[in-house]
Amino acid sequence: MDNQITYELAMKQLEEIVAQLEAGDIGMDEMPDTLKRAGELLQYCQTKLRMTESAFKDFTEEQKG
Amino acid sequence: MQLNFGSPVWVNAEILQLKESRGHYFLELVEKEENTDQIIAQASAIIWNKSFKNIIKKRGKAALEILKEGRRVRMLVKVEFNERYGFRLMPEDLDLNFTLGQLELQRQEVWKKLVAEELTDKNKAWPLPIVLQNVAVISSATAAGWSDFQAQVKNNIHQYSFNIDFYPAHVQGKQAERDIPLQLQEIEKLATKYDAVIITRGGGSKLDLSAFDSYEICKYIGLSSLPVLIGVGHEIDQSLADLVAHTSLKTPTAVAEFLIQRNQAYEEYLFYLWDKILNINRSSIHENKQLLQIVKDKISHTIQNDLNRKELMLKYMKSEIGNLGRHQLEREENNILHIQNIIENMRPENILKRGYSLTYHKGKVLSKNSDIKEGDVLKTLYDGGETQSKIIKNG
Repeated sequence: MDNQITYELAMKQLEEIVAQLEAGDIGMDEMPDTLKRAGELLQYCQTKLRMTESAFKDFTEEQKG
Repeated sequence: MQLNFGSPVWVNAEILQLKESRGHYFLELVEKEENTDQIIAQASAIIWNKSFKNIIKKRGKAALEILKEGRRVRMLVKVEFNERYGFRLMPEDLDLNFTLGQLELQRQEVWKKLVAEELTDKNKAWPLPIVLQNVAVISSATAAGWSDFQAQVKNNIHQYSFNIDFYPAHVQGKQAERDIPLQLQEIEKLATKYDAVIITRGGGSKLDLSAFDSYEICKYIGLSSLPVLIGVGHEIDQSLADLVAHTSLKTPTAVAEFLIQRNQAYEEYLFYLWDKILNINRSSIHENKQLLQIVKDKISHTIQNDLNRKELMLKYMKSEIGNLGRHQLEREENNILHIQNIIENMRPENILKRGYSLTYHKGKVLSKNSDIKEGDVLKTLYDGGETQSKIIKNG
């Protein structure tokens, strides 16, 4: 996963993959790489989301304390 | 002359000079020309101690105030002629009302002059500082008023400290008319040092306080660049000095009390402001706390909503990509199966099973291009067997 990517860019790429899949634009030769890329992007987004959730949890607990 | 004036007569005159010795009063009486002050008549007079005591007994101590240099008086006099001392007048009584009337007339003249010179309200126009701390006091060191003033200021329960410079002056008679203006001029030179000037003396009769109706005192009060507070113990009427001063108070103690109360009012105002600042701060802190809580809640909700939305979006992506990928794979698998079926169906043994047969000529499938001749042997394959046949006739 490249370091330059952001959550928003990852989301955009995932949306593009979904659109291509829906349109049947991805040939079988490209499919393994595309799915691999989609998996990486999903993993990245989920990690970011977990990190944000954790920070948010800290934030709300700090405010309660 | 003595014979001509067998009985005492009333005479009007001004006391030009007055000396007292062993209870006897030696006077120089004059008559001045109106407007020019030029002496047009003069006579000596003696009030022997005995006569003086009789006058005091009859007229009270106010008579003492009448016997001052510069006073217009009306006296009941006996005319005496002595060979050695010559012609002399021997006063036996005084008309107090005459002198008071004269003083009132003088007072009115002075007031008119002050009005004409616009000095009556000049001192009142100066703003009185909020806090009065540095003051110049004109009074007599021996006057009761000065010690009353000092005691009141020194023993104030609030423990306010005052910087008081004392400017000694007579506070009665002609000397007061000279001293007080001089001290006012001295103070004027140091005006930046002071917040106000105080002129004070203890109580006295109308005659005692007549100096405070003098033009000179009133003029320099009017010209002072500092607010003048006056506290002379007058009984009923106010002196002209009271009228032209910035603030007139009844007694020296009242002046001291005025200073203390003014400073106290300022201190109370400061406490009020302090309370106000505290309350505003308390209220502001409370409001800001509430505002901060609202912002925190908003941040929490927004983040939570955003996280939920992103979570849902990711789930959707995951499921969509999974589904779409699976569908495409299934589609491809179906395609392959379909092709496999077609290929499978095209195999010769499967074709033979459907009732077809396959004929070979010299090892090759018989076709329109095959060069067959009579007598050639053909091999025919069919479902479940093969057979050979010979060409009997070609064509």
